[in-house]
Amino acid sequence: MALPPSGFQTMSLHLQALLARLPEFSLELDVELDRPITGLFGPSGAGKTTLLETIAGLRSPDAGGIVFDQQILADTAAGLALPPHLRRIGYVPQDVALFPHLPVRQNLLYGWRARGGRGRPSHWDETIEMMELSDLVDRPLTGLSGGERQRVALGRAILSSARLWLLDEPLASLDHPVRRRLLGRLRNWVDRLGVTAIYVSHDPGEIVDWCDDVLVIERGGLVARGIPGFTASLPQFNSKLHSGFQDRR
Amino acid sequence: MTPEDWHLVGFTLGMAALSTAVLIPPGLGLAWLLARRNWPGKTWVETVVALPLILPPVATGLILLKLFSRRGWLGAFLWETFGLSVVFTWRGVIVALALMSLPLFVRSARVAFAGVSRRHEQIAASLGATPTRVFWTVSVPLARRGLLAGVLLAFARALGEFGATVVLAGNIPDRTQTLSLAIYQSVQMGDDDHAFRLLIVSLMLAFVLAGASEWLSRRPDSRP
Repeated sequence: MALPPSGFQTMSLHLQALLARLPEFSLELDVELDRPITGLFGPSGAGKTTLLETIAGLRSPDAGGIVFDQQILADTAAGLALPPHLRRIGYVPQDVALFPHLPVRQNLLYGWRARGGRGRPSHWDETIEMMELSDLVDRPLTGLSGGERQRVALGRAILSSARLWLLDEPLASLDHPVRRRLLGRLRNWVDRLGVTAIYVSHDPGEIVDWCDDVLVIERGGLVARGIPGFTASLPQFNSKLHSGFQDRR
Repeated sequence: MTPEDWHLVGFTLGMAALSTAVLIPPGLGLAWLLARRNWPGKTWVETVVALPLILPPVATGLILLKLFSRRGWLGAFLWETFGLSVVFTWRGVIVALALMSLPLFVRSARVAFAGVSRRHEQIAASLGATPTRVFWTVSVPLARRGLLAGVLLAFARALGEFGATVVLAGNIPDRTQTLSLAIYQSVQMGDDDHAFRLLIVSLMLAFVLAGASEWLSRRPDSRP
């Protein structure tokens, strides 16, 4: 199956004075993301996952609004909150959260069918090939490695007809060469499908190589924006990132 | 065992199965609402659902009799709208068994739903599944063991029900008489042989159900 033609205009995501209170600090952002892939960078516990879950509608913001492609996803002042299933989002959480009662194929097709698709999506074969899932498609979920699970979760989001991909360290369990190979394909896929993606990573190299823009957040606040700002802010993050990685292990 | 006895066993199993089938849809909905949502009057509903467990079954039967008699609130509606009579009919047996089994199913299903990871429900919703689809494709399959245990419990409770059934449906041979009612009648009439024959059948059914329940609880979880 052929991919859709390239040349889509990137849909913008506007976080309008967004406020989400957390036990130790508040996530506060007022930014407009208008590039295909925006990296989200910051130490563990900075509020990255909270931001993704707020955009996905899995938690309510305490104030502010979220507008994607001119559609209001949330607006606390107007009391609006689009239910998660209407947001056309493909969320790959850090814990992957594959459905344990479904085999790999059914997991991959879950979002596609939930959004009314029948049979298989037109980009099924290419997604399977791109995510190197051919050997996994007909397997049960039992026995999959962490990296295989992440690839299935990513495939599930890609196949779900989402317009906005929220990728929370989607390839963290994979070896570095495999990760870079898949990221290259993912980059190509984003450009050709015209989707918008937010990509969380702790790897500055990945952010610089694959993202068009980056938000650096710490304790819920924006501390740097854009690739140049990001590289400039890296030294101050090195020690925090290192401790963050230690925590995660 | 006479053909009449086998008919009695078949009728009892059929009534227990039908009453369990009747209570599952409202029981599922109620259990999910109790496990997953906070709403005004929740405590009150919880109490009402638990009442048949606490009240003497005969008292529950008396309440049902008042509700379902032709001068009762529900009975009048059913008679005038559909021409249906509940009291002293097999429908009365179904109503009594279903109501007496409902709390056991709801309790079991509620615990099962509470044990389902919210994370999976959330991710399903984020992938475009409506709340109804999330319920049927994620919540129910993930709660299946607890739900099945609840179905078995409800069925077992229905098989042995006595007090509410005898008040609402009476003890009419070939019409509303179940195994437990027949055993009672045989004992009352001094027909101990008959009572013991039915007792053995009841014991066998109880063994099968207890075994199934045990198998269910010991079966290794296939989830990764």
